[in-house]
Amino acid sequence: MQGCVRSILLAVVATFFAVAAFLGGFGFSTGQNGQSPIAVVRSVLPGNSTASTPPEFGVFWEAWNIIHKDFYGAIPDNKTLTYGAIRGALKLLNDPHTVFIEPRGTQQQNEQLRGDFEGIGAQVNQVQDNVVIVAPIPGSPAEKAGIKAGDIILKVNDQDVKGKSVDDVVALIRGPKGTQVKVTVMRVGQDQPLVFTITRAKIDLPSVVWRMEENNIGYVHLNIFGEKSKDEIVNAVKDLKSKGAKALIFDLRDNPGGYLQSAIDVASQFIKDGAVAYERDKSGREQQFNAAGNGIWTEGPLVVLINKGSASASEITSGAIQDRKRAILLGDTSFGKGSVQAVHELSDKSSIHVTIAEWLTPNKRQISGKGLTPDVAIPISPDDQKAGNDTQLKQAIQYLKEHMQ
Amino acid sequence: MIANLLRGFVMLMLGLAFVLASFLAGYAVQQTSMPAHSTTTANAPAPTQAPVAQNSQEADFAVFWEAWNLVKAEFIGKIPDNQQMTYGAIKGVVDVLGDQHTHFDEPLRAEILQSDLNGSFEGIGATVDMKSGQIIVVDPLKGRPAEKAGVQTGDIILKIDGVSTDGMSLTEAVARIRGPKGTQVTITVLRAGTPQPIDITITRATIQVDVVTSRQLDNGLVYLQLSEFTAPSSKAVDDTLQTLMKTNPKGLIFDLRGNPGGFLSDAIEIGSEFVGDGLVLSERDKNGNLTPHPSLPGGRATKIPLVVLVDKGTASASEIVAGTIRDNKRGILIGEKTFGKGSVQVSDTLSDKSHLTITIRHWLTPKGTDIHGVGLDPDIVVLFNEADKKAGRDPQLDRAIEYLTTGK
Repeated sequence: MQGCVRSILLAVVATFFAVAAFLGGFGFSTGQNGQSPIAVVRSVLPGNSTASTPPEFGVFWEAWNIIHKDFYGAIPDNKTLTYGAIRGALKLLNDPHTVFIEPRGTQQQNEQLRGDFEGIGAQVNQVQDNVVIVAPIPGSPAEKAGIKAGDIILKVNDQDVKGKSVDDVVALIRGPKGTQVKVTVMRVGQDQPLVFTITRAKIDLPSVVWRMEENNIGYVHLNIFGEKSKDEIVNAVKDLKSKGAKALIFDLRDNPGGYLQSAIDVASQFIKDGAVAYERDKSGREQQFNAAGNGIWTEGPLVVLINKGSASASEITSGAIQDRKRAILLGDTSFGKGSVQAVHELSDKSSIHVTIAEWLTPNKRQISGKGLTPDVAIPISPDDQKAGNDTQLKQAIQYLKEHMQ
Repeated sequence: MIANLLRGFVMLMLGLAFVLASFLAGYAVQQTSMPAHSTTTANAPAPTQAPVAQNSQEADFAVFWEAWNLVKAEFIGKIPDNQQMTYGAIKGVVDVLGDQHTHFDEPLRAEILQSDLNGSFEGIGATVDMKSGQIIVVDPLKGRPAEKAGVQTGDIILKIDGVSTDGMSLTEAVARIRGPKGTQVTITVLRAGTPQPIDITITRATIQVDVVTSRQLDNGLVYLQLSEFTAPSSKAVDDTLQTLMKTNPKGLIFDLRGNPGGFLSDAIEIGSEFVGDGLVLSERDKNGNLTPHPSLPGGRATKIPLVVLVDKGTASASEIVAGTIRDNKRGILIGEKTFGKGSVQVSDTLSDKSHLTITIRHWLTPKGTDIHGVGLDPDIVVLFNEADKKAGRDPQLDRAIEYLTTGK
């Protein structure tokens, strides 16, 4: 196995995976992560991984052998036990962001950040014992083949999937583009199960959604800081500009983060020049990250929406915008994750996130545990939330109307 | 210690149990009531050690070292030393097994647990607990050094011999307070209503834990209560029964309520006190092989009419004894459904004196019932509610007296 690919990730893992699992839908990773961006590489991977077993570790194998010899219950396989050992050791670090992720989670993480996967393109969800289609992605092989929202998946390649988890069903459906998968579903109103044979393809997972609101106010929502996010934002803003946008709302709510480099690149679209963030490593050394220049919206009226789900890379971008007085932040206090992780893929395709540094805003604020306080605090009441009444977006529009020429 | 690996004998105890053990033992090491705890006394030859085929295991394990070496090279915070890392890894493996009665204990903690189970240790005789990161005195045991020196329930221990307890684990605090008898320890406590911390110097002594209480009841009945199955338990029960039986009582009430268990050997010895000639229990290993444990000769109460008081705190070794008394038709159970711990743990001392306690077998009642997760249903259900407790009533005991007096 060649060395591990490493990249810098800024994300709140738990939230991230909730999203990943959801969007992950049906996809397939070729398993090679060679194209992942390597944002900062500061240390080299240790060489032979088993060379330096410390003598103290002998006790571990004593315990391991006793368990295998005597334990009354079922003993999980070596891999599962090994993952348990890794988690047990990482627990000692008392850092919620230094985490181990099993191969399947690693694959989902890679797809999310890369912005595409190979599969049939449908979102699925667990409903009681069944895996149900939430929605086929428009234009995807699933949609073209006739899969519809609400379809209950009965079989995949003639294998009964009743009682299987979403992850297991997704794994069965995934495969390299160009190959075929047979999906049998039950549909309300149909007596007989329907059988679809679907050719898998590469499916894009866009990180940006945009539209024009009233008064020529453009709206752009970014859901993750992935490899393609910068380009997607540039495209979205160009489109809005061409349609006459005079002001912009940049929505970072519920965005759990992503790559550090992506955060800098995205912030650079709104900040002309100068500091965007600092990174401070273990030895206290600081590195300054500057705006890249040629940003797409560095002058026009802007409001950034944040909430408690805006974390990590989202906070770098919004913190830069706030400290550089480029625009106001509107919404709720953000999550408060001020650390930077290196992501390493291990030899069995599991991965580990290791906290290697902390980052600071341009005014050298460390936001861990505190978050960013919005300039205009607008909470969404549970009633509005339920009714789908986005009071934060409405306030942002109102604010821009008042401040536009 | 002679060998590196010492294998201890089996224990049956559950968490609740443990609380009581450590509670009585003086310094509670753990406050939760869920996980089971057990330790070992016997020193039998060691089983496994290194050269078992580990090649494929170590190949699968390579990813551990990849991960750990990355952490060591890059992590921004403090890196635990190799020993802590090893313990963390073992605990991680044990967690994967998903058995609350299988656990790993570091040497310091293992030693405390062991002395608790041995039923005697050298210390000050107070129980402590951890609440919101503070070490709090739960109960200074009557007549023991802590109480005599003026330690009170609710005292917050700020320092031990001048060392701040801030950030200290309960285990470490207990280890610091304990020490050879005759030596002194000074604890600095904060007490509600007293603005300044108080220094209390206490001379340590041997704390013997009383596990048996007994008394004569009216109508020629006698009462015997056992609080746990630690090392001194079987002798204490035997001695007490000898005394009680001299009065030729008409009936015996054996109270196992709240008794969390302890050593299997004590369960067999104590069960044998009541069962003349029969099976006390059988053990079943993971391959289904049964090992019967017949009663030992010389039981002192094998004929007398008998009622066992049980409740949901009656667990493990207590359930063995209650189960054998019923299955051998020696008496009935009165009270509430028991806890339901039918597993047996063995505790191994590893080469660095840490302990690995694992579930190794299940035990069955003489009639072959595995009560794990089920418990024993009493023959006569009698509840004991908060109102009874407040009023100082014991309806379960009252019912037992009625049964032995009237035969109904």
